[in-house]
Amino acid sequence: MKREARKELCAIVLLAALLLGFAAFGSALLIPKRQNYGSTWGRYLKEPENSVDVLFFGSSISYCDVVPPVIWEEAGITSYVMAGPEQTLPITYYYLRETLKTQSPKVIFVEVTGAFFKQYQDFTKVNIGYMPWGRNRLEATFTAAEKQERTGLLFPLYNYHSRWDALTREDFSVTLKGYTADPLAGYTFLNTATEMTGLSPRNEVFDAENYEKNIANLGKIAALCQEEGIQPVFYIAPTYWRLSDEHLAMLESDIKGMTNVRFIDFNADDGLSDYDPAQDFFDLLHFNCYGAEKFSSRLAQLLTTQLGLSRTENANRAGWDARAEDFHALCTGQPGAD
Amino acid sequence: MSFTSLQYFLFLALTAILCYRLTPRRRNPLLLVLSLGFYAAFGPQHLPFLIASVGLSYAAGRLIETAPDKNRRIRLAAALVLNLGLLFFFKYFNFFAELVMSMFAPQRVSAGDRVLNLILPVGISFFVFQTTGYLMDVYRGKIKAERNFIDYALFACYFPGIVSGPIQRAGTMLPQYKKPSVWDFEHIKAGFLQFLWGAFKKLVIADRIAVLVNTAYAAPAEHAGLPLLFAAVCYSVQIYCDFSAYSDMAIGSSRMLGIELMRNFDRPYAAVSMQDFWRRWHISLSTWFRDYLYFPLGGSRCTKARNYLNIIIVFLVSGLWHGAALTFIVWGLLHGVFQVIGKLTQPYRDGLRRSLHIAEAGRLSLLIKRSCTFALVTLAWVFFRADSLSAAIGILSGIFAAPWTLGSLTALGLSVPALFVLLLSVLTLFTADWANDRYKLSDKLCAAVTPRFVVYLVLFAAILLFGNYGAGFDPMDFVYFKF
Repeated sequence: MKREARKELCAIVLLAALLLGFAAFGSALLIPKRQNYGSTWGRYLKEPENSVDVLFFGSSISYCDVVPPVIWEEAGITSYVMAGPEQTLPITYYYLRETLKTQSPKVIFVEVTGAFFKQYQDFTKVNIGYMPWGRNRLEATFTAAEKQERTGLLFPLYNYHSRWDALTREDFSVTLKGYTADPLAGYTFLNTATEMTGLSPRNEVFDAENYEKNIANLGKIAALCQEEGIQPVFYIAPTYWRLSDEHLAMLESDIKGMTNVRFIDFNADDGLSDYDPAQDFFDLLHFNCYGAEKFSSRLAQLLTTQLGLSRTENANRAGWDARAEDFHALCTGQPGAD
Repeated sequence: MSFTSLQYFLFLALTAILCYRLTPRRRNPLLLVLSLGFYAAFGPQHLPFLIASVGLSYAAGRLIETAPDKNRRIRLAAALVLNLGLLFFFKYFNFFAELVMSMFAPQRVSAGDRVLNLILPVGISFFVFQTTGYLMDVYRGKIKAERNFIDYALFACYFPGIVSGPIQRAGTMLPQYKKPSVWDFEHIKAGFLQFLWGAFKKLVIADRIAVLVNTAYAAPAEHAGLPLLFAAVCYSVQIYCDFSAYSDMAIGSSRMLGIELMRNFDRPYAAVSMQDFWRRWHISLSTWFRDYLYFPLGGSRCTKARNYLNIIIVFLVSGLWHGAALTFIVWGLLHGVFQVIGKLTQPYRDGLRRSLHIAEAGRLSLLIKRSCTFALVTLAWVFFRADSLSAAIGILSGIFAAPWTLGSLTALGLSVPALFVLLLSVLTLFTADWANDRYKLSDKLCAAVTPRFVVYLVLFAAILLFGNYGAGFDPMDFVYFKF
């Protein structure tokens, strides 16, 4: 009898282990492979440890506007974009914590129009679902995700099992061999140009309670940076889609109240004058590669002149030079028009 | 709370742990409370109707038993009027009122308008029939009226079967509630296997096939010809998988608690006649109709004409039991008519078989009989599934009128790999059903650790990978929930 019970128990344990393995491998295989458009954790983790001096966070405005290879080319400083689509600031906080496990940046940039995002935007599943497993992911799941998203975030097969009939060679290859490093270091290449005809109000719906929470998260980011000896820069990217003056002033004032934080509004002082409205924009919010290149040059200048950064010493120069070449190769064609 | 939800797994596990630790005196009130909680999860507004049916039938059972002989029939009639009246009022009042109005004042009937805004309590057809069966058994003296209200209420409300059956008999259930739950790992093994098998049928087959069926039935004109026929055949598989899955999960859940429920399906599509089909399909309902309607009407111990009428009446009522709509009535009527025609043509069919030298129990004979039965059942399912009589006729004419080209089956909403997996799953289902019937497969699996755990693993893996759950899926209820 005892022998029978022991046999059953062993079988239960073995079954649980096999199912866990099946679920883990199935999740890794079935989750769509993410190579760009933010939340590219698989590729980020291919960067050599402690090799990046500047990290960029935020929403699509960050991964479409900042080209780390250009910053390297202009200033010899290594950087990486770890933003996510419509990323809310509570998730950005966990992104920062997670990135600091492998990198020790000197400066981080956070694009802060997310302060006026809703509590939950449309891409929680992507923003958290690609984070490496660990405390940060779990905390993000339980504090920054919609309740109905939690099952899928904890058990990715729940979200992606139906992809079994759409699996590609890439799915198998990435699952078995892992991601490769991103030649554009987190930047998402866009080359379509849309002519900008004038500024457009963002007409953001203001939710005071949620705004307070977002500011609190910016505060947490600032505090973490202070702990880690990082210079945080909270910025507003140059866009034709504008926050209201009232909200912008409120945000500026709240951020300036934080210690150790620099606030930069790249729209201020006719910030758009450096860009060609006919050629440099993908849409009201994002640059195409031409605009992104100009903006990244400006960031490189800022890093060296105002933030006091010098060339990264231990950088893989050949690798970064190749990244810059890759970017220029992509950009060689004329921008199309919508 | 769906049987396929995580909440239900936790609920079941907790219930099992508690049940095995308590004596019947403490276990039954707890099971009753948990059953009421389970039922209330479908909407607390339904609870008063269940309680009314339980209270009414409990009191009526006692009154019938204690009544002098001359009053027993009157008390039974009164109890049946009240109990079945509850079902009639909530399920059929609007249907009949609208039918009468459409005959006498059609201008006052507009689509979608209800005469009375009534809610339809979940599972009302099941619990009213269960309590009605109890009253009939008490009246016939087959069982004694239950004195313990808790035990009786548990019989009527027991959670595995409250929503969609199987419709239980008091004679088999009440004695089980009197016994203590004895921990027996055999129950857990067998129950879990049956539950998992049910989940596989529901999540991997029924809900996937539903995509295809829903697409075809939503726009029959676009899928005319063989794809529509394919969808009609698929619906036969869908409803079997869906309903038998629920029964398996209910029976499996209950078995894990140490309480046996009645078997509800016995390879229905292996039936060799319509009569045989009803011995294998929804057994708890068909035996209910047999015992409490067909026999009281005279059954087959009467003239042939009267017997045929009895069959038609039983199947008409069966159709109506499934839903207050003309489609269900036609579905029931078709089954009755098929059975009558079957009986009428039996001598001629036997003669033809003999003249062709086909052995009665030979493979060819079985193949022909099974194919014909399946075709007739599938034809009737078209009415069962369609939204209206005209839609059903449109589907049937779509099948027969259009040129019979296969077209693209992928236009029915499933990719080629999904169709392949579906085919493989259906083959697995019918093979397993056959093996279980012939070799008592489930008993053998329960006796052997390794093969059983391999089956667990395969079923779990199939559900995880191919199951209809999670993001992007419509969590479809069981088809029989609406009855």
